[in-house]
Amino acid sequence: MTEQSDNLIDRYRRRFLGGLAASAAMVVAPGVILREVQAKPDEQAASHKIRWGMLIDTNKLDDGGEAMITACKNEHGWGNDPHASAAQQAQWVRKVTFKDALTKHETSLPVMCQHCETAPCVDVCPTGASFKRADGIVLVDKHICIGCRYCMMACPYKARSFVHEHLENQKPQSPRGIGTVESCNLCVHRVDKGEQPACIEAASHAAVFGDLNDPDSAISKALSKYGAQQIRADLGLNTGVRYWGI
Amino acid sequence: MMFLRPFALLTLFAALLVGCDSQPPELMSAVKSFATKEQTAVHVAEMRRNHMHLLMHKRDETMHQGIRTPKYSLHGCIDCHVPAPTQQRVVKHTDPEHFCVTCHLDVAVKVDCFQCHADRPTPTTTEGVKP
Repeated sequence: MTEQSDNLIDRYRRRFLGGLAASAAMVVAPGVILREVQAKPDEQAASHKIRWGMLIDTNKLDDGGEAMITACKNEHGWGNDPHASAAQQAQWVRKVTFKDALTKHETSLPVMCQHCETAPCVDVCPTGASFKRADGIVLVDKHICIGCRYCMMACPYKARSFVHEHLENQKPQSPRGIGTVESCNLCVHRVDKGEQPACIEAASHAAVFGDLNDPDSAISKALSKYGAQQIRADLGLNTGVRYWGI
Repeated sequence: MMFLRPFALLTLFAALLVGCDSQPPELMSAVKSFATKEQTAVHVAEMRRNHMHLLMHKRDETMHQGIRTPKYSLHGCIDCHVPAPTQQRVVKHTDPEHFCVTCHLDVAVKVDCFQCHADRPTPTTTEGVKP
């Protein structure tokens, strides 16, 4: 490799890293985050004009997303069902770690429902319980879920769980119950109030939440400038959750 | 005498009905109350007859459209009609004195709302709560 091309690569690398830092600063600035999610009036239905999404920078997650997972457990009350075996426990977000064979570099990332635009779980649901809300949040209507678990089979991200047992004392904001499938709901009760999802609050230095359809939102600006990865982009699902550093 | 038979039957039926009324069993009192007696009466009359329809309608609006107005929200019912859990006392949906359960037991209706939904308000204080 010539000296000149080495320099070019260095220059490119420096610019790229600088860009990452700049966009992170934009994310961390407190005012930006507060304006990011507008409170929807209670009586107004979710709008097609919005598409909620999040961007997670795995290089900045020093714990591989464990704080995000803990925040999710506290918000929704999963992960501690008394009679479930370890394999049966609900898992709304899981920490996935992979290692590069050559460099031995390990990367961890939290993987939750990716809120696909063309969600396979919605396609396969026989009752319409698995549905996508107008603003792009993929949800399970547990009132009409029959617990067939087709959606769990269809999801390429293993994002859904099934509740096997009678539960008591659930969180008022997050109903969970026997015989139904559940997954990350992007903290829809918080988003409707104009708040951030619990996991984003727990890792505001590394993750940003916002409207992907609004070109002026911090998340859209960061995505249009630097791009980001989707997990299994080859499936063409156009996920609402994007990652840096994977 | 044949023409008297329907009257006799009616009288017998009426006698059987004595003591039966449509009054619900004694319910635990709500936490909040309305400003006037009239408002209370309207609320009671409407809810006795229609609470299931109102809740069902609201349920679909909230789930699918994200409409979260406080009116007819299940949270609203629970927060007002079920006492907040304290260290001494927790009212659960398995207890016959739970506001919803008292009537549903009386009329033999089994509801599954509380398989998923919280059956009690969130504790307002930081004091420890019985599990």
